[in-house]
Amino acid sequence: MLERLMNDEEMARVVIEIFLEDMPCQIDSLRRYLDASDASGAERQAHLLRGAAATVGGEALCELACEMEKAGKTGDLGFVAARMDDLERQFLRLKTAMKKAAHCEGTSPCAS
Amino acid sequence: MRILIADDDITSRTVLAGVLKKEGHHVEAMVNGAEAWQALQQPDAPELVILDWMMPEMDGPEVVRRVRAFETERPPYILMLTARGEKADIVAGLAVGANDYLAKPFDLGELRARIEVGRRMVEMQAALIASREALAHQATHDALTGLLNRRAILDRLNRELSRACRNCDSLAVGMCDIDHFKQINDKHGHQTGDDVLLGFAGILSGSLRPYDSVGRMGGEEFLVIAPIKARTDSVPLFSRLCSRIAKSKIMTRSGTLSVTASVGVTSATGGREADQMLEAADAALYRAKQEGRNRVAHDGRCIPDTSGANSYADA
Repeated sequence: MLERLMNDEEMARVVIEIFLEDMPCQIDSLRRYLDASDASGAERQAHLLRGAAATVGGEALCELACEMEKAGKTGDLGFVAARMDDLERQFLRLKTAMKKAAHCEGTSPCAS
Repeated sequence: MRILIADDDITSRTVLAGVLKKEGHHVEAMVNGAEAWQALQQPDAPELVILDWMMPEMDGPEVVRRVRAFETERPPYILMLTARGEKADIVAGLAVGANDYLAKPFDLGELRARIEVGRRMVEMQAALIASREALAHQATHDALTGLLNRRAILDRLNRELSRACRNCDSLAVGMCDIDHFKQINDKHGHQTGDDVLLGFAGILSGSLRPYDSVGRMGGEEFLVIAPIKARTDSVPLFSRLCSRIAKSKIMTRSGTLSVTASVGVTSATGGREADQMLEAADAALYRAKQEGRNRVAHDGRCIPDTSGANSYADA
């Protein structure tokens, strides 16, 4: 991600801050689409999660969101619901990795 | 370059906006398609748009469809942002009118390159519009004097005649011809003659009221169109113009020269054809010349210029 941000560490710090703050709301929002049995809403929401994860280089999270998006597209909300805990876990792992990286200079802050 | 971006994901939006700003672009960031569509309908909307494909409220394809159906001189260049590997989205996006696409998350080099392509297209479009406008100006204006040319002033005459007819107003036309212009050319050369034409055109256009028109019919002959109230005598208007011309000095490469003009005037209150008016004005002009020049002749009457009268501009 740092490369995409023209090696601007300050910008990377801001982006990560925004990502970490926004992500829990977006995950909640996906849960609400599930509760409402809204497959296209869930698909769109998983797509957003996937895009955000890809942007900060969170590959595992991105891959999981991608699978959920595909399931949403086919209307398989059961699959999406079954992966929710996994999604939370992956996000927390990414968050920990980012916080750790932010403390040791010189390493990419978004290596997951 | 002014760039509008629309993405519902705040992380992607922040990264894209941050990078574009760092590259020196002016960025307007929208959080969904509906907002983007709103902004793109404004008269000074950005010329390049980067649109996320999947957005709530209004998705990318719908924004593109609306933008392409929107009548504008300067349609924006649209780059769509699609998730990697989604060929169907790319095909659908290009089919509805997007210009190009960019896989998300973007590669910085590719983003720069695609924006550069967009910038070239936007510039090409602006150059085309500018040259079309220049051509339109050339087609309707006289190259030497910058006044309306023969075709354009005749178009104007037809329009003004219809308008006068509709409003029950009158229309006066004055055919103005520089006296002894050939002698100026013979004595000082054609370039000085051109200077005189240019100066004469300046006097005419500087003397008009805001709603009058003037054009060069050809050679040293100019047509003035002046809307007037019904049953008003149009002759004083042109008499003042005539005396103003006679009093003016024209700077030329051969020094300061003075000229006089003869004016043939006719007026109409609807129902007359442009051709009939031109014919009557020409006949009146011929009479003004016969009567000794530097004067105004109106259809049947001939009124010699009484120098010292108020200038046309004071009317």
